[in-house]
Amino acid sequence: MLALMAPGLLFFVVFFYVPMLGNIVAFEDYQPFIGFKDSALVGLANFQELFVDPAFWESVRNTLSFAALQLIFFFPAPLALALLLNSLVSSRVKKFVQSVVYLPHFISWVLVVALFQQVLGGAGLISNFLRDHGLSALDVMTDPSTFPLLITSQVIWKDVGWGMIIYLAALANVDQSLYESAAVDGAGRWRRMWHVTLPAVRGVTIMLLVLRLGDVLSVGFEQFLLQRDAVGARAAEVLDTYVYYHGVVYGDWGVGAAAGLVKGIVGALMIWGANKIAHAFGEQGVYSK
Amino acid sequence: MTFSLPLLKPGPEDARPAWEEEPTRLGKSAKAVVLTVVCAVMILPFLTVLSTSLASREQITAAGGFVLFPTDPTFEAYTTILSGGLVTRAVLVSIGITVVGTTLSLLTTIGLAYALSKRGVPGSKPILLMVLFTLLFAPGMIPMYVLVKELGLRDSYWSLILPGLVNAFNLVVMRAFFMNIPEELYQAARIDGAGDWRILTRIVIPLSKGVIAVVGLFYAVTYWNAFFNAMLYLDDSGKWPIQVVLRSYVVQGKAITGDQLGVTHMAPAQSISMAVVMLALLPILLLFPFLQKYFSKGVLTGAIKG
Amino acid sequence: MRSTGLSRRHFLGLSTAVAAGAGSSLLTACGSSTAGKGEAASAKVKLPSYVPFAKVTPDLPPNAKGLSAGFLSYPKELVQSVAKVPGDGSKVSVLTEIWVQPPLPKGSNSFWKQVSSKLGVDLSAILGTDPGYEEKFPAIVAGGDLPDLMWIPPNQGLQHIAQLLEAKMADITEYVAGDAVKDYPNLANMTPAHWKTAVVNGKIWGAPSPYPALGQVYGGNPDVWAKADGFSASSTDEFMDKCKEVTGKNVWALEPIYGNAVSVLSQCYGAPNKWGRGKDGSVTFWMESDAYLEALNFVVKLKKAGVFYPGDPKMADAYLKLAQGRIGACVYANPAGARKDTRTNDPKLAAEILIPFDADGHRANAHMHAFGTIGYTAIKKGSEKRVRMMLEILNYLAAPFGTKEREFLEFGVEGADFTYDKDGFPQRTKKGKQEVEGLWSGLGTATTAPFVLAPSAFPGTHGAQDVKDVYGVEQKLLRTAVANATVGHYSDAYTEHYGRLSTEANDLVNDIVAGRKKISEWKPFWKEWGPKGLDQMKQQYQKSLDASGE
Repeated sequence: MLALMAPGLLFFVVFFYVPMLGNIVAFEDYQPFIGFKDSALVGLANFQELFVDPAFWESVRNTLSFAALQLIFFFPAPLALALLLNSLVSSRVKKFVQSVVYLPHFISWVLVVALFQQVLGGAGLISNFLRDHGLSALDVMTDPSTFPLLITSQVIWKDVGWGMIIYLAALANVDQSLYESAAVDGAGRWRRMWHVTLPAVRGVTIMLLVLRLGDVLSVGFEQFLLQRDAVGARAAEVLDTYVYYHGVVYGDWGVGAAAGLVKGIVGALMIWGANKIAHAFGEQGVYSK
Repeated sequence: MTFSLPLLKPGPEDARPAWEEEPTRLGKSAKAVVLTVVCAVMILPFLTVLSTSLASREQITAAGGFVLFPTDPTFEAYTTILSGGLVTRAVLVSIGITVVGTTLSLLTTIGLAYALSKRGVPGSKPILLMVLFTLLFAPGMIPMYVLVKELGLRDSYWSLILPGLVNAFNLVVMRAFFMNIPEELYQAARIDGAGDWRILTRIVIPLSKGVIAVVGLFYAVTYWNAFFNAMLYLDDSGKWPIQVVLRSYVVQGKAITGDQLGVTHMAPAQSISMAVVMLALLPILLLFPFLQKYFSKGVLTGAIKG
Repeated sequence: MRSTGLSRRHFLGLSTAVAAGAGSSLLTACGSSTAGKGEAASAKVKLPSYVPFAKVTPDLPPNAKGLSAGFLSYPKELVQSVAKVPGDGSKVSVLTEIWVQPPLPKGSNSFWKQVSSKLGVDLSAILGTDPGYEEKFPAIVAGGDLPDLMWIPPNQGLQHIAQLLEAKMADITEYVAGDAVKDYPNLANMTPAHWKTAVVNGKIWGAPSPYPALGQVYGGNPDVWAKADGFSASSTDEFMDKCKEVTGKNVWALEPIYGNAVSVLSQCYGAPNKWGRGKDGSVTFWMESDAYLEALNFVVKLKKAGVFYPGDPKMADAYLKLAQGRIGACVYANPAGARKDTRTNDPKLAAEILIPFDADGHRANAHMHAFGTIGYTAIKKGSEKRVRMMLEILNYLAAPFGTKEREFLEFGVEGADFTYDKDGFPQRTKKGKQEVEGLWSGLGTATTAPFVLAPSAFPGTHGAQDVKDVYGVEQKLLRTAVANATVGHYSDAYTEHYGRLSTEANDLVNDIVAGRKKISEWKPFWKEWGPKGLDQMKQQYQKSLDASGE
């Protein structure tokens, strides 16, 4: 048993916990050429800088609302697609669809945004068509009020197929004879889905949900950085872009690290809470009681 | 392309089981419509990328960027890239890193996931929490660089593998699947006197091919896409993996820090950018069909009965 | 010839707001003691003498104001600019960035071996990529083992550069200041403007990395503007009318990158080049000026008139849309870059450059000079002998166009790495592309001779005409060129606050032009920024400028 665990444990200690000590820069005025040990300690000043900045709280608010939209619309999408595919009889169609829907995951955000522009942009296919017919053009790529929907649909387009794969693996483990006995007992299509299929993916789904909640302050980075100027910072600034500007662009390693720690602590609380709720409903969650 | 065309013809294994009712016409057509739309929306942009990579400069300029169908297809973009001195070498490096890395990652992850999935192992909960902790915090780029340097891994292929050997998310997913294996199977095995090693290789792994395929795919894609670590840890360009080399063909404009007024745009030959996209994802595209068989129904059914 | 130089298009912005404090602009916050002392000291530095390279005569002569030399054909007789082998056979490492595909690695690259032997050292290079350099640089610094030569770009988030220089790099002032630079004739070919950008804390820290000295311009697609009698204007009304005239069925006059539009058009209102001096000598900041506000107002009007392409302000394919004829004009890093880009997308297309016009008849229009460099290459601390050897190496790398050394660095060896085409220009062979191109990109980034215009830089068959056109445009622009008043001066507050100020200001420009905020929010924004750091920047620059008698 120890032999099975040792390599993994050693990895986490050496490549995570040792360099984690570097997070001391969150309490320092860190300068790379001076080093971790000798950079000046500044106490909680880096955290203070975050908490007094209204822009920080605005980015947190944006992040949370994007995260909520993603939870409502994006999170269930891969599961729905997996269930739909699972209900197909033809394995060829199924394989074809699987191969197609996971393609967009490999397209970079730069290209995703360019492709969306190509279709939905102010000079895109649809707009040009509308304009040619004397109608007013679309404004969805630059309209801050619809931006959350745009962002969410981009995420769904890009990653619904990728996210589906885990569920496919879970569905593959369903004992097929259960369906047959349920059918023999008179259960219809929907009842079989409810009583056989869903229980098979419930554990995985809840675990993924808890993990997603732990990551609630991350909603993506490049996607927002690329489209920030189109809709304005007020609509598109999220925590990760805020950290990028303050930590990297404005040049303060300490503030970047401090924001990272804040994110981690919030994530830990979320996982702890969500896991508690899962336990209350008799689920496993991510870790047991 | 990896899919055959006569898709809609049902294959021999596709007989509808006798107990399953005929689908309603409404349900059938609704499914067909949804899947057709989904596939079209996913594949058309991809075909645009492919077409543009094959289009001539004149056609791309005339179309203003993207081409739906190359009127005069040319492989020039591909030959330009592939004749670069480093590309072939970089492909081999990436394949090596992906194969070795994925194998090692899977072995390590399976081992730890199995240990953490076993009920009643003392200390397993603190270890699990310790693993989960790594999902929430990040060590930061500079400490990682200093560590890799101190371990003497700079300019070594190991610097692309070891720092990402185990991913906590993959580990937790795998553990969850392991925990779903019916407890009776373990008990039966233990009664037969099987030890951990035997249970792992004879029961857990055979019953978990689906999740192993998924996690393996996740690792493989991560290794294949390795860019940042390679850029950071490898000074010797002869060791660079494919993504670093490919990106040098599409040096992207970017806003320079401290000066957002100079928003920049850069237009490398569009066909080359698109050919880079295609080349970068081709191998992963080829990998997927081999994994798909592990996602088909009833993998576990047979195992339990047998 | 400077094919790599021109393709560094992502430095577009560099020529503008960035490095107001030149090299020293990299410093950040933190107000360390070394940095603080720099303000006054920057002023007093004695720059190297300017001794133009005389052995090669360009067809069109350069000048110290930043006009590029122009060549209409490839020189028939190449001259030798370096008399003896610079190195002593030791190992030398250089950290630099490449903008093309990487060369074959040292072990399997015969050109690399030849470079080593010509330089007389065992040369190794750490070739950073884009993106990546801004991460790799601080990581290498943190790791502790610094290479002998380090390219220091003007920004890219590389922080605390002044403190780093003082701690780790060699102060080369005494080796190059005044006539001392004559020991290194190819470095003496750099103008004072080049050198100023390598001054931090009143000391010279390296060999400049030259880049075209002209700044951002609007480049237009002549086919689009033909409808309106060409891409030029003599007043804002005329410019507006022409923009409206060419905007029509799926064609728009201007790319939607609003920040650049205001920046380029503010020249027509006589805005300072980032930092200027008022009549009483006081330091002024361009975005705060009335001229900038007027330009912003004008851009808002242009936006309302619907002449901007309806895309997003970060669109990546504006240049392609220009070549396609959907967009009339885009902002380019400099005139040569504009012409090169249009020729690349369509060899028949020659970008027309908008010469800044006088917006309302009583104000001086201006062209904002760029720095003429993209940073500099610093030398690791060491003995005088070692540092001087590095200077000899940099001197070799700075060999001007028309010398044997330059041809070797850029193209390799005739026959193996390149052949002459029918017009007599070197063209790399397949081997040359694999071995020479990438290494030249890196070495040329570290340092090279001042930028020259040569026909081979422009794809297509009109190279000589392009050289003449661009040279002509440069002459016109230089007539009204104004320099940034603070180049070579240092402000600690600048390093602490400028990144944020610039980001917030640009966000506001975007919001105002796009109609998300009102133009009346502009002045209060600056009023608020005064005590938040802008006033302090001005005071510090003022002090430094006063001390130098500028």
